[in-house]
Amino acid sequence: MYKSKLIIFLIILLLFSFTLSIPAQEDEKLQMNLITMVYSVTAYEDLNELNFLTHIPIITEDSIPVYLKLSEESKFNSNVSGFNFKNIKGDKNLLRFTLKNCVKDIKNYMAIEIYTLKKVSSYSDMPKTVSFESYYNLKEDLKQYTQPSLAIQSEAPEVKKKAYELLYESWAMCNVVEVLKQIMSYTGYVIEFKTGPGGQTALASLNRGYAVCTGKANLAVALCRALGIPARVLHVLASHFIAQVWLPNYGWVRGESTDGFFPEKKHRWTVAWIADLDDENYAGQNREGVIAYLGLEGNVNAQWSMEYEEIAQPDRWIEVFASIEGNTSLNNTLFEKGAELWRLFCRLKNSGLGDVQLATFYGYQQLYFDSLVSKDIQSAVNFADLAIMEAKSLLNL
Amino acid sequence: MGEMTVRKFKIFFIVFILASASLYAQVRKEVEFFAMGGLNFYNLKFSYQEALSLPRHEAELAHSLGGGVRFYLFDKFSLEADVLYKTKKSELVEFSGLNWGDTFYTLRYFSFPVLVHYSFPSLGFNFFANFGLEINILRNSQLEDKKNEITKNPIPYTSPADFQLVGGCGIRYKPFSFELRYGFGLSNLNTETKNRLVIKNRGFELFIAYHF
Repeated sequence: MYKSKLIIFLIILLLFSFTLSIPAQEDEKLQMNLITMVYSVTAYEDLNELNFLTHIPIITEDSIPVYLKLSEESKFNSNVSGFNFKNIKGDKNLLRFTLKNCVKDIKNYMAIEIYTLKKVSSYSDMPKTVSFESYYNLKEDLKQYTQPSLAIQSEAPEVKKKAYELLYESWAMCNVVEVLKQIMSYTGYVIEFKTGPGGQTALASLNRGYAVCTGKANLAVALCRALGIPARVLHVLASHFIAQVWLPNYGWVRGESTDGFFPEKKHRWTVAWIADLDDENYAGQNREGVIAYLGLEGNVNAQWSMEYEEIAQPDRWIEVFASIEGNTSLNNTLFEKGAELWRLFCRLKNSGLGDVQLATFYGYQQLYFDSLVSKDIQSAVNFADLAIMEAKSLLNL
Repeated sequence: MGEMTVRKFKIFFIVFILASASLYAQVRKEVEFFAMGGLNFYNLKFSYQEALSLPRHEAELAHSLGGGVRFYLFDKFSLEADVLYKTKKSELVEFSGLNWGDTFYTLRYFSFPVLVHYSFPSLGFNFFANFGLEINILRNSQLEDKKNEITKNPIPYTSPADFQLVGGCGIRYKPFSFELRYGFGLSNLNTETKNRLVIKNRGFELFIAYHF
């Protein structure tokens, strides 16, 4: 009797321990986020038309944009006649709002809903130790991210000195991961979060001792580069800047240079822009270190601003719109198709084709989006396929 | 260990040795006091749980100064207790495969070695050997990178106490003695435990003592 009970107990124990040993498969989860970006433009004279440019999400290894939609709230977009894209380089596009009939001194609000599909994953598999030697023979495409620029002055003596000081902050200076934690902690906690005159370049932020997220990200990147670690600035939605650092045999890892921790959660932010050296030099020369292209197009007598209060309401800002679990292979297919569809959508938006010509494409894209919202992944994949075929036909591919 | 506790411990230890020495002297009249000073070459040895290229330090010349008392227990055995102000210095010479240099780590301690001392007269000299335990209480730590003009004082995450095994040998000639001692650090000097880096002190010391 006891023997049989013991056997049953052991079987249960074995089954229980087996369930415990199954690793959490985070990649099986997809999450759709909604961010509503809100801007305003005030013209200082009556203007028939003006254009405002802003950033939209880019495709990254763990996030793809899926849909853009003008907000239907009555207080927004009353003057907006539509939106288009402006290609800057490669896959990088800006969103262009066109505003009609702007009356002098009246604030015009623009709001766009941005939907992204993200893999819910963390950096749990990130190496805990990385040596500095592993950076000695970097590939050419990574070398640019160790170079100084006008916004990220990693060769400046003050920056170098601070980088070494942070290196000496821990006995474990030989471990790059520990050094990166020191750097993010420094920009997050020692550099005060404050606005003020003097720009947001890395050097200005270091010398002044305070900065906003822009300056903190620039400084964190500069400190990494001063030690030979490839790093770059990410512009993420809604209007925030963080640092990204390259770890050998692993890849790019995000660090929260404003809140002071490393690594950052992979899916916390939606990436709008990955700055390269040209962007950094442009920001250093023309934009006081702000590595972003948003603003009014051309010389118009008007002023724009970001409506942070409208954006920063937690229930509207980053809202979990849908969470999709289940079939890993189907999710991966959806992710690949979604990325291809977005690339083609950007090309169509830059092609000059009119809404009438794009009507069928938009129809399939809408059905793809609706299927995602209702978590019907198979249908989303099917409609993505149809939209891709239509886009290729329109673009003669 | 708090700074106040360390200070109390040091005072207690010094008073204890001096008081017990003078008490013992009154009873047995077999106690000897001496002043001592010397040079040391201490180095920091790094080890990590995972394979990682570790910093390489080289010992730098530093000094020790203090005194001690010896209690003669038997014919050849005695017990020695010293109180020393000791500076240990090393240079970071290699970091991640690069020649570094000009970066010096200095650790200043109040040291309290307690040793068993064995004498064996031979060839007209009084040879001796000793072995014991040393408690080092950190007084001050400093990192100086001369090339980049960086000074850190104190060095973050440095253990306030370092226990060492010590052993050595020497000769006694009239009121003087000369001794070579080796110190084998037992404590991890790195208090930032989450990074799993272990650093230990190792080094030689050369002493000259004058016995009263």
